[in-house]
Amino acid sequence: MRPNHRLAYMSSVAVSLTAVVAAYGTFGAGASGASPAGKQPNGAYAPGGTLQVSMGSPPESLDPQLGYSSESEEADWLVYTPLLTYAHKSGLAGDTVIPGLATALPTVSDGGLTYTATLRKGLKYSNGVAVKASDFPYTIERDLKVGWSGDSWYTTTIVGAAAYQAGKAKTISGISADDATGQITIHLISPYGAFQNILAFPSAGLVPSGTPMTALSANPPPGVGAYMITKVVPNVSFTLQKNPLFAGFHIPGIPVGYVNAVQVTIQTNADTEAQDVLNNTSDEFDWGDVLPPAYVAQVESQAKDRYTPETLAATDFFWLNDRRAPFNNILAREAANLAISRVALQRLASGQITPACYYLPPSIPGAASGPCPIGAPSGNGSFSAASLGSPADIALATKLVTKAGLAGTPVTVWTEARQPFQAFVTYLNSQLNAIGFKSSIKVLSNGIYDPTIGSAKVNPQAGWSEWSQDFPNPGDFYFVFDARSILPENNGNLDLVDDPHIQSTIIRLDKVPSSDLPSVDPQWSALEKYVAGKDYQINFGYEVSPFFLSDRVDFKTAVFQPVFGDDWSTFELKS
Amino acid sequence: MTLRDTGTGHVPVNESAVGVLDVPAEPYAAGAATYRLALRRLRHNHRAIVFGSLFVLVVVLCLLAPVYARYIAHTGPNVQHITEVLDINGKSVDVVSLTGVPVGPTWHSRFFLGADADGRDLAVRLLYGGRTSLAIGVMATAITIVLATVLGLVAGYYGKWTDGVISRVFDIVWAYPALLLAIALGVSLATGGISIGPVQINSGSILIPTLVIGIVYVPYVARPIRGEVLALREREFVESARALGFSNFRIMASEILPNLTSTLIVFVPLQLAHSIILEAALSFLGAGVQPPAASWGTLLASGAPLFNVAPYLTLAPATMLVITCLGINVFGDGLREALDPRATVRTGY
Amino acid sequence: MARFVLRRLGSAVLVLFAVSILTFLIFEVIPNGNPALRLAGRTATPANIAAVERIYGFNKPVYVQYVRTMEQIFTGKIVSYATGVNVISQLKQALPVTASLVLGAAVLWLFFGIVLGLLAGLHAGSTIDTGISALNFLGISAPSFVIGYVLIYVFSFKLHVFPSSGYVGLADPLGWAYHLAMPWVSLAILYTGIYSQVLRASVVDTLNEDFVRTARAKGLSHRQVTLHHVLRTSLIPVVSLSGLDIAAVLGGSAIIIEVVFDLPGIGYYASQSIGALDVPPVLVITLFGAFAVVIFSTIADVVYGLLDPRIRVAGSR
Repeated sequence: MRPNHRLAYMSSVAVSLTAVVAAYGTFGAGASGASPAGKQPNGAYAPGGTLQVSMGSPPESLDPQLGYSSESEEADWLVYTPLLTYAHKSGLAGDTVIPGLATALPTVSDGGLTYTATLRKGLKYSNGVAVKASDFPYTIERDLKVGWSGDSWYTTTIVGAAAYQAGKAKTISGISADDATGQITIHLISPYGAFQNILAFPSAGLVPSGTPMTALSANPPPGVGAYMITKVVPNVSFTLQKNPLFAGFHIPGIPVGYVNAVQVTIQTNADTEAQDVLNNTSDEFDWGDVLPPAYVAQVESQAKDRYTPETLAATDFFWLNDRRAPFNNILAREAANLAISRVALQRLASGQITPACYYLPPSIPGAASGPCPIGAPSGNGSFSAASLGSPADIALATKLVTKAGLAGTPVTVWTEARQPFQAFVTYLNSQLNAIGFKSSIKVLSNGIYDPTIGSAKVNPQAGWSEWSQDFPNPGDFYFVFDARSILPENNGNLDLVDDPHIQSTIIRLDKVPSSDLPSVDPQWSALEKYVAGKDYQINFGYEVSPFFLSDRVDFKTAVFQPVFGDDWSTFELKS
Repeated sequence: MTLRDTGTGHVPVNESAVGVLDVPAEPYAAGAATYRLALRRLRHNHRAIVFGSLFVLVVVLCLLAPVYARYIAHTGPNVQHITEVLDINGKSVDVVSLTGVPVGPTWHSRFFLGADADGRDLAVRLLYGGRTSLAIGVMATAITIVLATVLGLVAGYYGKWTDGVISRVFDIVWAYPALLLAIALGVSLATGGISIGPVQINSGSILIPTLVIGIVYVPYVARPIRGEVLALREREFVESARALGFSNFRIMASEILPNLTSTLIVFVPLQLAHSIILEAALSFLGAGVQPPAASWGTLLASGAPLFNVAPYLTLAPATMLVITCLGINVFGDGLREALDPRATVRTGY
Repeated sequence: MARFVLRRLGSAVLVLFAVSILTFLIFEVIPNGNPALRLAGRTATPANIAAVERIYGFNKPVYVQYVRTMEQIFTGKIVSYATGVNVISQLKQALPVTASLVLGAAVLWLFFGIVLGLLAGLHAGSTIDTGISALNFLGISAPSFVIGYVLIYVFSFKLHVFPSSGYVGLADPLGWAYHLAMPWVSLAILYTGIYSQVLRASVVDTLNEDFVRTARAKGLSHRQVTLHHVLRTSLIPVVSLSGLDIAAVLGGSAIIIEVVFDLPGIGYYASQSIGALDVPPVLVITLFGAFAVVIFSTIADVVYGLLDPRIRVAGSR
């Protein structure tokens, strides 16, 4: 599934369930070989060569201050290292933030309002220009000027960023940088626990001061990273070459890369893409693409030693407008929840989702487990724990609709035209009709879907949406339940939930630094159960992505990074 | 007769180049005798009759869709049986497999042609889809013919600036890549719907693709009509009607229009086939019929991604489409031959 | 002749102007179609949206946006809202793909259309005529994308003879033809049907013309009459048609074939851009398509005048 990543607003974070199990299971047994640094020499594989990557849809943009899709970030995070970045490891280990161009993780002072970091010495961009501390504020300013679609992460957290964006200031007042000492100080508007993650966005990957403040999609600027982008033919191909300067910087935890070059070709035909990787004429089936149903069985049998399905930190759900009939009535929401069979939806997604009822995916701290409290408010003890594998309970759902006196209420459900989302909502539509509502469906082209459902004038009743994480933090996910996300345009809280309990919990827990998340794990889980019990929305699946490589790549040491997917800097080719 | 294509359709600039139905050799309105003669010719054209009947058969089958759905398939066009398990000759088969592959043709009353990826009965949707496709074809053709006749008549009869304005509008629509125009309009209207004064068309309505298709083809029919009117205007019978003080409207309606009838009749089957195919193309690209309504175009669109595992999802609507258009086209050709007085001369060479 | 061409070009400017306005309006009326909402992203605050509107000028009145966009088109600076990539460079990249598709298919359809049409016309009423006419009807009744899927299923998925997708540049002529073979055939079948029918009718007409009879009477051989007179005269409508069809396909009408075979041509680019409501590429492509239609129809008319012994372009249409 996951064509949504092709144009997704969010980057995606993935976690390999198998890798999670492996990480726990072999804890203490030493490096599992995921890190290239700790890798044993292997005669069959050697550094060098060119990695051939097939990508189903082109990156939004390779300009780090513009691209925000998974395809963009997959390339950019190896080319534009920010002050902080993520560990080049599979599974949960890959969710850890490590120092990038900064000497260490920033020191936090003023009760979480000030972050101070120091730039490493002797760094150079791939064009040989020395890196200065003042390039950091320039980079953030460029983000805001070029119009990165995640710019709210900066404008809502950093002092003066909003004023800069509005054209009311010449610089961002909240960031100061000293080129002589390399010290960078950032002042926050209010304490924000996940700020380290924000500093690790590829869009915060440094570019030289003076880089034009316009989109450089076809000719991306130089960066500091294991690779550099050398040739871009928009919508056709692009090439990453090894950055010869990078090995000299000796940044711990960031691999210098094995292959000399990564040749990425846009292959919009998923059948061809799958065939090419099966035949080893291409080395990677991109993680943002859907494995076509015709090839799933073949790949599972013929390529089982070089293919794993990876469950991502991305949740698919149906939102229900909490302020309009019928879904302002908890019985109606509960009925809708009961009318949906997760396994049916899994089949509509060609098996590419993992059935779910909780909102937070398993890799996110605070994810809940155990029986799902769907239907709890109805007080009917006979179905307190709806299992994920169960079929839809049409009879009970119909009873609830009738009991609430809502039979025949008109509902319009919304979806965008791409599959499988359209299939999801077509199913929702027919199930809502089956339990007594008078439902109809509205399909919009992908370019207009989000702006339309996010409009207060439209005030839509129900539809499909997803949340792919921007970073591994429950607070990121709870953006959709945050009353502050309710806006007249680009509304982020489609359920229109304004629940004091949720609100106070989010505000309290958002201040907790990422490193202390385990301590508030139970509080997030409790919130998860509370939200599920209110049936605010219908969570039905976590997205699954293929990690599928050719036999030329050493699959054992290749990393499926949970935030950025296929980690090309860890791929080693047969000698 | 210009036989214009499907997807790209437009009539060449010089209509005379390909010779639209030649202006009737006899200057006066084709009388009932002409049509009786044409009908007799048509009746003797067995090929046209056979293919015409084929089309009628398709229409009848599609009209019977509710009967088939209720009494044979025991399901509706939008009922999804995703997680159901079928018993086919003692073997259990998922309607939709875990990897999303639907069951193929069972040749039983339920899921006769198999299921689609959403777990719906394909045969039922095929028939219901036919109703939509045919309805759009017929309505769009009506729109095209009526608008084209009125505009062509007015432009050709009044000439001067009236003709100038109308012809320039045709130029614009005609120069605008037809399919792109249709898709752009389709996407735009399918998103917003239409509301002009009291007229409100919901964005999901099949009237939207109908209107789009009907309008896109207007210049291709109107231009040759205008050409004919230009020629007819100079004929004696029009002159004498004018001398008798007939109003312009009366002259157009009772003197010129009857002379256009045979051309219009020939255009009907042609446009019907074009409209049905354009509907398929538009729906295939997501700019036509909106789900969950079935049409042959939407069936093709949803079957296409699964073509390799479930080719019947595409082949079934494709076959219906080809049979229907073949029926219309061959019958239309017979109709043209029957109506065109010179047709016998041609084939008789 | 020169006056005729000038006049046509004059009206072309008018047509292009109208086409551009029409395209702009079609997208302008879409509710919630403000591209800033989409570009600003899902987590955007009202201030972020306002910033995007400023960057792209969406806060300006429609006519200002229109003038600015047209200015950018003519200075070659127009960029896509969705990707920030220069639209003109994308069009240049897509043009060879579509041109390859059109030209190859046109060669096929002209060759088979002429051969079949001539055969049917010369043997009108015979079994050959009936057989060819059956093929023609099949060709014009089967949508090209259906033919495309059938070809892919048989020759790519089952037999593995031809690739199902992709475009290889002319630098590798064999690979180029190999990858385009199936798209060529899919597209050509429809036009072969049309051309063959048109030519047949035209041949039959020509054979009845006085000058052909005269030529026969003068004792010219059947072969000479066929080639010199009949074919030359009968080809006129075909020339007229092919100019327009080539223009239309070049201007994006091959959209479905390009989508089916994943050919990154103009039609494919158009379909992607329309789906994303990305106005700049749609505008540029429709202008290009309309321009192609106008230019090619002018050329077709001129050639038409040169070919036809009976008609000279009179300067009106």
